[in-house]
Amino acid sequence: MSAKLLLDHVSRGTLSIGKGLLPWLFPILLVLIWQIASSSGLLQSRILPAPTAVVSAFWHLLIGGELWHHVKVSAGRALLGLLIGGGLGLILGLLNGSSRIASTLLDTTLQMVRNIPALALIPLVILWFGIDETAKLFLVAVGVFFPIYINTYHGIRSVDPQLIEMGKSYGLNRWQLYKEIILPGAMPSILVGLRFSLGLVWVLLIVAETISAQAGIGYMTMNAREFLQTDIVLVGILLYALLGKLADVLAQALEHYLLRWHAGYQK
Amino acid sequence: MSNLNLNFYEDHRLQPVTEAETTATPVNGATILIEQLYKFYGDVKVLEDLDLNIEAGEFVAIVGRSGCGKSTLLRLIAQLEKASYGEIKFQSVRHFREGITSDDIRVMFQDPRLLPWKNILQNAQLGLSKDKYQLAETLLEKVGLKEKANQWPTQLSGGQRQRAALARALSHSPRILLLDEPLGALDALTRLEMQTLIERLWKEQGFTAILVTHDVSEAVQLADRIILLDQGHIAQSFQVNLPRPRKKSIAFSQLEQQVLDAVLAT
Repeated sequence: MSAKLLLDHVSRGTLSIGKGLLPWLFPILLVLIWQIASSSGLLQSRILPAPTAVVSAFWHLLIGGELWHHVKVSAGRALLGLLIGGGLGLILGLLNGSSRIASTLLDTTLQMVRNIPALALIPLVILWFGIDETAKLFLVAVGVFFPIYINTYHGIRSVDPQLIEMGKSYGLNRWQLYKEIILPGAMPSILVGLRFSLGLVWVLLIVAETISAQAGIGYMTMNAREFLQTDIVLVGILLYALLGKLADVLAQALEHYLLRWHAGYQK
Repeated sequence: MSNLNLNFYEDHRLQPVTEAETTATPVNGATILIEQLYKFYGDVKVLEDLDLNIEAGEFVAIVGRSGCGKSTLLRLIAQLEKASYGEIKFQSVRHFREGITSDDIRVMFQDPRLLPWKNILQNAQLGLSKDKYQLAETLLEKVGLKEKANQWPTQLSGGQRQRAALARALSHSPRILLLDEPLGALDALTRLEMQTLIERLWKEQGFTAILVTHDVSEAVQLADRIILLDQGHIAQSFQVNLPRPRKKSIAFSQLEQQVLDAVLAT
């Protein structure tokens, strides 16, 4: 009886490990095929280098300290752009969400500007700011501004009016009403905006860094293209994927902390 | 069976009012004087020439069909809305010079309206100054939610949420408590528990209570006086002279039937 029970547990254990591995089966298979195709000469390294070559390029860049330098510059740009654009989006979203006058005055204009793709501004941005840091920050900031603005605005507008009425009747002043009810009520929506912009940051940064730069992942990739170093190009592309995922994980952690009261986030 | 029994014993924690408590009722409540009150929404007349005096510490229930204006009357007293015409005056009995402000009036709404992002204790402390935080804890204990203080509102049952809302309202030591059908959404057993609790705390704290309800039995159970509203004015008023705590007696049922007939006749 007990032996059978033990066996049961073991088989269930292997089953759950198998289930955990299942999503990785296909990617692993793909990489394997890729590796075989490259080493057999079916796939030219000028088109796509072997996975081992990509890993070794990654390793060399890491050892040389080059990688760290580029990632630092790119991440710095992403963060600063997000801070400026997201900060402005948050402030304007809060303002327009709370004040009818402000929203009547500003919202139509902002909605109009929103329809211009940030990347369409590139020629103008180059004329305005030249090709240095400001141009890149501007592009990232403009791009992330709108998701945060719209979601903050919408979040504030959709706070339960019954809760606001309750707060007023329980003697909260304007500031307390904001701090205790309106802002936390809008928080789920604001965080959606943040996650959305985090996805956008990297897209914008790739383009901005390929225009012209002296450092950054985009620069590293463009530079490698000039010398047909496809392995380094691939390292750059994978780095964007990695950083994007990392940012999303961080945003998710923030969400889980800030929305721990929410039924959807409770275990 | 075991479930039912558990609830029953929980009920016993909210002990009925004893004779000693009844006699020791403090007069904290405020008098409410309503004169020629009108309320329009656009062209729709909701309240019309309404006069009503409510004594300090009195428990008044307002009944009537949907749309008779009872919730509007409560919202006007709560100062959530302004009257179109007429006046609502408040007087303090205990301190003659002391005025009654909106801080002395608290409302219990139909939904508990707890803030989902604050735990139960923080909810009960909403709007209190720091030196009165202790009061919220005391009240949570009185409504039997001391162990739930650190939980989120979503983790509580409907009855527990309304109890938390009651604790929040009473943490402000109101002189007037307005109850806008707060028990409407609860099951019968929980509702009985809540009625006992409200009656006990009303006796203990001595505030003036106004209860808007659909449930005639609840009105007879709790109120000193039942006001029947019809199309924006008072159709009838019933004095309830039954000894507290009230049990379903013949007199109780007779009065309940009488009020119910009057409501149906409107």
